[in-house]
Amino acid sequence: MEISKTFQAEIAETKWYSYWMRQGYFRSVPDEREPYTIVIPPPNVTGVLHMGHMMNNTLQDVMIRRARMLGKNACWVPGTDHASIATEAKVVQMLREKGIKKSDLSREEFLKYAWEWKEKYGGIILEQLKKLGASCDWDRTRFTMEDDLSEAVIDVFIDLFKKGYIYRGMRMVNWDPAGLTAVSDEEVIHKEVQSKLVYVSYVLVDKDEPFDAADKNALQQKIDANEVITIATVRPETILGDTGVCVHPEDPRYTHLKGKYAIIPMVNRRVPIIFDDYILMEFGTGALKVTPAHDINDYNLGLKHKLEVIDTLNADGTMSNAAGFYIGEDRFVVRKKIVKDLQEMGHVLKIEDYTNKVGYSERTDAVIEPRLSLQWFVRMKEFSKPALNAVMDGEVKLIPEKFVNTYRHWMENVHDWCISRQLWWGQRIPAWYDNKGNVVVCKTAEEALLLLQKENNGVTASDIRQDEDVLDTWFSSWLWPISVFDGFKDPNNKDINYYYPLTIWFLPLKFYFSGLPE
Amino acid sequence: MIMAGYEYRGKKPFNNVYLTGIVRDKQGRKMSKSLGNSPDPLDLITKYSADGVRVGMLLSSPAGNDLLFDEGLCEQGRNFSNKIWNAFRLVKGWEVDDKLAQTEVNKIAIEWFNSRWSESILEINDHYEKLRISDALMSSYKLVWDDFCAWYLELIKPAYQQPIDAATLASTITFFERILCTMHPFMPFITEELWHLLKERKAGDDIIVAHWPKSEKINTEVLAAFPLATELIAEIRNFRQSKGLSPKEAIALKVRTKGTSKSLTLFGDAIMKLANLSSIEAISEKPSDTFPFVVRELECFIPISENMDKEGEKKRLTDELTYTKGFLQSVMNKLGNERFVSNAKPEVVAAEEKKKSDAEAKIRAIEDALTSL
Repeated sequence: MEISKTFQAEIAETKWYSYWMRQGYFRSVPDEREPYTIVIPPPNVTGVLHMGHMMNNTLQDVMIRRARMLGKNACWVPGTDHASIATEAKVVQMLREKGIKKSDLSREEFLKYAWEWKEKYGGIILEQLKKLGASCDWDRTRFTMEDDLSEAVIDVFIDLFKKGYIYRGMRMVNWDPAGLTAVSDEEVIHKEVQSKLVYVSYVLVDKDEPFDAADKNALQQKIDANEVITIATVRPETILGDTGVCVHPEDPRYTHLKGKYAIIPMVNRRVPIIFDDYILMEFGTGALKVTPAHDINDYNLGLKHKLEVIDTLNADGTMSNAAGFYIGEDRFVVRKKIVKDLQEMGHVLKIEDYTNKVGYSERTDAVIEPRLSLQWFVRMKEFSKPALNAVMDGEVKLIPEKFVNTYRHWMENVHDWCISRQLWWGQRIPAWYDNKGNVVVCKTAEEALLLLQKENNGVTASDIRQDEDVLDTWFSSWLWPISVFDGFKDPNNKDINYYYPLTIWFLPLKFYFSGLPE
Repeated sequence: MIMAGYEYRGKKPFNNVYLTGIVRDKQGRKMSKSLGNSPDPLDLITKYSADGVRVGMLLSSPAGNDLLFDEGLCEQGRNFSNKIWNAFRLVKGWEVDDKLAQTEVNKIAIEWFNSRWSESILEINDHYEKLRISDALMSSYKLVWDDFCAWYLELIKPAYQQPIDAATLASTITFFERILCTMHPFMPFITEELWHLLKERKAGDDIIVAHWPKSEKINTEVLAAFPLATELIAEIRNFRQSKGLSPKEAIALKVRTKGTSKSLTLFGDAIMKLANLSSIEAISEKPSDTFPFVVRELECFIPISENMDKEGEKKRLTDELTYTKGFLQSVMNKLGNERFVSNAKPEVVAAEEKKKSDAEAKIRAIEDALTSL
């Protein structure tokens, strides 16, 4: 036989890969041998192979091939995840190119397009893995949004809700006051605009010192005595929602203000001066008005310092009753009016031109308002304990071991996990609302109606609606090692009993550090 | 996932979590489309083969939590593939002579490689058990490149156009199979290809499902004696190069050593073959008219021959003598300086004393060599 001078890699790769497939060497079914199980960390269904995947999957293939040669029953399960945000963004873009707006489509119509798109372009990455030689059991390929896996996600949501691990709570979102919807970060376009930076003086008082904001003389006396603190803002209408003033603890201009209070103009609200090194001393006057209901950073500051949250805006961008002034008027009209009114009272020190970035809704071009809205959360503190112990006790081994400390730090400081997303591509949250603000969590509309009728006698099917949001993709991924073996659908089936727990889980570090819920 | 595992299965979801680093370029920058430093993996496969890229990925050096990727590593992977391919072509090119008796060199080479391979596979298995996958590759790589290709195949290689004996070829094919099995997880394609080219196989006898080879009995005496033999061979090869002596000209080596050297008794024939020696003679007195050199406990002497570049060597030695004498002088000056000796730390003074005695020894050796020339 003539031997070629060099190795003809391309020919050999095609020849042997298809030969191995024909021989069924990648196929694994439970038998009497010891199992060796790897499940792929699911790449995005819309993704294409990058170097990170190459590394991760080479490692998996090396381990699975050696296990096979060691005579173990080697099983490598491939699959993809539905990547809620990434996929929806791509479908929205594809539709836009066709001249179709997402807002013109119903949920069902949009999902039809999305599925078509997934069937056509999804899973390219799995084909690319074959080129690398990945010896996955392709007959076991799974997708996080296929029926069985979606059902598992819904069942787990309902179960955790019943156990008290899931609750609904307030969270700041990007609100589109024209589209009346929350939008994802991807749907916000930031533009540079010319604004007016207004410097406003707030009167300083002691805890119990009386002060009347409407009393012009009293205000003038305070200004003359320099007993004021000046803040700068481009959104003066939000002053009505201020519940604190924040300065840097090391700022020499303000160290004497410990224990002092500021009076919010017009509304005459007494709010504490708080000290936090989050503040940039160099910016503006070094003093920040804190409006927890209308700015994400202020919201976090408010949480930390236990400040009141006063939502001064209606969903459509007009001032709410809670604002106390200009009720029902549009936020941009009020922005001008309030400056004039504050000037008349003598609160305005100066006004400067200022260039800043403002987020606009991709869909409606309305200025986005950060807005507190109801979202769904998983309570992590109690729930995460077994996961922390498993690693600390060495039940689950981390390789390299040095990451144990990072893991502990993360698990001990875990925040509740926000699992709702204002998107359509994903598992829709199984929560149902009636016309009186009652909410139930269950699998179907029929069940929901029965449950809601217990609270609300006359309610009919047309009065109830399902939550519009879908679940975070990680709420699917975290079930992956069980759901790929149908461990939810059929908890005692042969596969799950045989292959679970996995031998090794190959986790890309970037997920680990971005704080994926373990 | 761990939480879901305990909540819904009552047990952990996995036994081990292997954290894979972020792949960066060789300058440590994140890979991104805009920087243009993110190669398309499929292009790399076309260029360097899947096996080459797989090896290249695992050769990437870890840097903290990240991995620094360099396309050159994929090239190294492909070159490795070529090395194995060429080793195979070499072995396949040999004619077998059934009547030929197995030489002592081949016998000891087989004994040694069997032990060396066994030792390596234990180390490789240990790396795998501890999930040190890049270390497993490095050990496998060295086993194939250094031990198998550079030493074993050279040892048993018949002279040009000469046949090989059947027993040695059979052992070599067995070794080759074991090498291929060891490499299969890293390089699945070339190993499957060669598995089938190496010999006729029954249906289903494919490397992907071949048994992971087990270590054999390790002859520790042979293993321990081998490194000195390789050092001696390397030293003689250097000697030829520096003296302008052709590799074809056989050398009569004289060796003085205390007691007997296992490296010489076991690998004497092997050394003669690879270093092209006409003889190895054990001596007790230092011979004249020779070049002396030392390899660990072996004092070696090579007779001066006509073909050596004597004048060049004389000049080289003279230059070195001048330099060393100058160096000795500067050390002596320092040690003669009272302020230095009384102020410097004792260990600094001791270091200078050591330099002095080393230089003196070197000068004696050079003068000896010059006298014998």
